[in-house]
Amino acid sequence: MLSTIVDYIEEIKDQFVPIVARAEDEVEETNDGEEEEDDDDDDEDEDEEETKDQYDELKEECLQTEKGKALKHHYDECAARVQLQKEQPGYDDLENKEDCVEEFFHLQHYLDSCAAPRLFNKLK
Amino acid sequence: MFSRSILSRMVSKTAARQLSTVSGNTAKSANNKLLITGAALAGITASGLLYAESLTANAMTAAEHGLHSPEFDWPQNGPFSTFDHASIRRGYQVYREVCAACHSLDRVAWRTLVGVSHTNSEVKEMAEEFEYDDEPDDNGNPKKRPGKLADYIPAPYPNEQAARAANQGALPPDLSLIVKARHGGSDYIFSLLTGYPEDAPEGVTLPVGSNYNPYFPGGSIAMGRVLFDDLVEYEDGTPATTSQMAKDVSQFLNWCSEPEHDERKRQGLKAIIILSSLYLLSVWVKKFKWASIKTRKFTYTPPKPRK
Repeated sequence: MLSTIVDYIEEIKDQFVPIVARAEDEVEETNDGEEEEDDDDDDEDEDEEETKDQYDELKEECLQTEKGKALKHHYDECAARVQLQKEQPGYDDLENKEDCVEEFFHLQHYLDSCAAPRLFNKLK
Repeated sequence: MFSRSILSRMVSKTAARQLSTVSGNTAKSANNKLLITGAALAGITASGLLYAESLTANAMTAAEHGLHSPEFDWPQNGPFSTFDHASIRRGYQVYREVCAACHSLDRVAWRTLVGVSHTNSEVKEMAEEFEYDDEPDDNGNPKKRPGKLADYIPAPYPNEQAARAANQGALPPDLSLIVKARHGGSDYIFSLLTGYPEDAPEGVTLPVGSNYNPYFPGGSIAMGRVLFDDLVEYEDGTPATTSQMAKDVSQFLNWCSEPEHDERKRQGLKAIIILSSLYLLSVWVKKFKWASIKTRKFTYTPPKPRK
């Protein structure tokens, strides 16, 4: 029991330790760069095909809003943090591994609520 | 002498009795103490264990619930609105060309499609493409015959074991009542079909052979993404984007779950009109029935006092 409490306290401590935050920025930048490239590629491909999914289009629009950007930033931050944790030794033996499901859900929920009411006007 | 000995005996007896009761009392209180300390110990260890468990317990996370699907603007949403039957027809095409490879539709008979999405002759042709068991011939050999309107839509697998064996142990659910059988109904089906992200969120580990879908409770689903743009070619020329196909097949599956939907709304409207007009009529009739009672007048004429 004592060990679990100590673990818990360490977990809390980990969240406030600045080392992780400093390292995040570097990873984030590289990440952002990759994603932008990916997006560009997708756009070109889909322009050639001409048909583009209406739901995806609306979601991309929603992603460009203030709130969408903020939530995407939160998710990216989490993804960078988790990636950093994965690179550290002994990750496989960790008892509690962080994941970004919650950040992902917050982002998706916003995109859904933003895009869903307008989607069916665009479909037959 | 005699009386004194009796007296002394009596005294010694009562003393002995007093002694025994005192020793009984101490034994009882020791027992009580033991019980209380035992209960307290058990309570403390139990709460300690519960607390330790609560530090690592991760039940009821967001992932376990699955992402809630948003509400879409379905054609049948209004109180007087019906299904979009052109959409049901397209949805059947999507089911036939995509879903039917794995999912059965056991409770839907060919005949129910007649007049809903297809004409009589169209459904007859569709049914004839499949073979059904016929009566055995004179020698007892099994025979096959083409499908009839009264037959049910055939399943892709003969039984559950075959279905599991073909899908890495996962059973594709029967879709006849799926819209009624899932929280969120059509919204859930639509979100599930369109909601496969390109990558699972960072840090999520999936079992082998499963895919990530945020709308599926737990996140890991055996079914992969099946709908892609331009997968089917609609006969009415509608552009077959992923969301268009998802909408049509959700609409079709909603009709499978609630084939009585349109008629139900019509009957409901009729019932409301008839019952409310009968109610108003009864209010009107009541006026006449009660007219004599409401307009009567009670008078009291006291007897004249005797003089």
